Amino acid sequence: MRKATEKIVVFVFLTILLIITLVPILWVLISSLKTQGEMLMNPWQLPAKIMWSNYTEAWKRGKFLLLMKNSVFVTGVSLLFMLLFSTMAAFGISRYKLKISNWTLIYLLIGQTISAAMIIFPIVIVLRKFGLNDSHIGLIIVYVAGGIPFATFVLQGFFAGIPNEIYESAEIDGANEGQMFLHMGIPLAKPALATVLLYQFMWVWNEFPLAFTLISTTSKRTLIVGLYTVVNGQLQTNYVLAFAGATIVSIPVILLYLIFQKYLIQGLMAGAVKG
Amino acid sequence: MKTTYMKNKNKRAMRWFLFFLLPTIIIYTLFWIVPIIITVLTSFTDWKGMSKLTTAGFVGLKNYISLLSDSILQISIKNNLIYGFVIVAVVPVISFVIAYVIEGFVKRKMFFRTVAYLPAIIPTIVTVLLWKWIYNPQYGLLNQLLELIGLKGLETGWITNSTTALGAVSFTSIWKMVPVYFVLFLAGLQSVPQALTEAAVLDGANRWQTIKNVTIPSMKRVISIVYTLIFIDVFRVFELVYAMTKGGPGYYNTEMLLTYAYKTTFANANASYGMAITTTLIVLVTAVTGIQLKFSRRNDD
Repeated sequence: MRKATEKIVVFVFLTILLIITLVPILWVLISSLKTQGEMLMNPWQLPAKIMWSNYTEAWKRGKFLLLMKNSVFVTGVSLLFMLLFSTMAAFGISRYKLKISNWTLIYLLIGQTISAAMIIFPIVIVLRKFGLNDSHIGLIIVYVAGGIPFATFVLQGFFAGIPNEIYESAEIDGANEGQMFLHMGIPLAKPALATVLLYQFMWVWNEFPLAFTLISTTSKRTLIVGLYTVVNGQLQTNYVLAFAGATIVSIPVILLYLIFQKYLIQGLMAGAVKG
Repeated sequence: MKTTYMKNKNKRAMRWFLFFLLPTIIIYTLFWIVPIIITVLTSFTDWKGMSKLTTAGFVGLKNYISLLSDSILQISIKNNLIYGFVIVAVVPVISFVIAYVIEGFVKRKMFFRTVAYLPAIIPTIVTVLLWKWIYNPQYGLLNQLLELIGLKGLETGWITNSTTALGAVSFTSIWKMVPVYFVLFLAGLQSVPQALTEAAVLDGANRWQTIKNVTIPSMKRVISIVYTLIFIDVFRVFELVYAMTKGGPGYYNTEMLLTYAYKTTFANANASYGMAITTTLIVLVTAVTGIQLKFSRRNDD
């Protein structure tokens, strides 16, 4: 009897969870395939005819090809250097266990508590000093700088679990520290790297305040800023096209999530939660 | 003999340490820490943001004193506190319950986990577009739903009506934040030793007693991290509010500390005053993180 009530409660709970989470998302997806009139008149019905043309039109009118190129470049290069530098840092911190290691972690923690939106204006000032304002390189460097703390924490938590004997035996075999990093550190850290990649991809791809403020030239904008601009401008009243655009922007990050989702928790277990 | 060997070894370790840390320290310091320092320092000057930084004049605590009599700031603080109170009261509890149910009662864990995390993946800008539509006064889904269940009288423009705007923004924020913390609780639940829970059940403890006496105490660390992160998140709220209402409607009805600081700096061209607001926030979040760190370290010993 108690088991049965429990089952019902769980079932109701999960149904509500699914409705609240999925309905808005699916609704955008379905509406993006309707005509504007259909969407306004019959918001709960499936489209009579699937309007793929919404996507081609949104793609053209939002200049999404250019924006997509910019976003792929900025995200790709940012992640490459963010992962490289933070893996090096995490390896160095956990491999040598010096007194300064702990202070380095605390130094990184300070930055982790500060969000980009808080210090955005001084970032503009610093970039200007280096002649990097309104450039992809400038934006990339800031992403690397801001993404390093979290990446280093997760990776460091992971490296900390590797017993010292492994390094010692490699040392006896005559490997130097650089070789150990390349041939042992990086391969061992793969699951943690996947976790960091997933989280930081989500951050950089979706990031708005920095991309919006640091880039002023229209042709250099990232996808998310382009979407924001177009749905608040040209497509302000063309909802179906706006939804098609929103879907285009969200697809890459959802795909990456579906591929890497098993690392969503795995890497956190070692790093943020236990460490 | 041995000590020189150790000394050389330590020296070598230090050299390699520096080699591995150098790129991180340089980039992080120049492009993240230096901006923080600029924020703090300029908050004591009269710098407006247009002129060169070197022309700024020191004015002591003037900006901070002006903060005290700024009525818009007071509204922002009030909004931010109400928003914060709602988020802190609601998000951890819901996140925990979802994690607990999915972890303990569901066969197709992977499916539910995947779905439950979706709102966290979708870009905030898309989330805002979606929820602005849900809250739309004419065609919005929420109003249509109310009509469907016979509550037509409650219909309104949820984010254009000044009495409902803050609540509507908070609800969207909850929708977006719960998945993030649900994952942390999931990781926490997986680290609770199963033997302990089983022993409690064998001893005749009911579900609630097991949660209270076994699950929650073994997740102390995760719980403290979750509350700290949420506290920080609450005061850093920016993107969602900025994109959704820009602090409006009406007279700053959803203005938060950071959206106000951003406006002061960029739109009102009063950089040093914006920096004073931000510096206050920096001190607040850093202090909370520091306390959490100290507290959790002590627990470990």
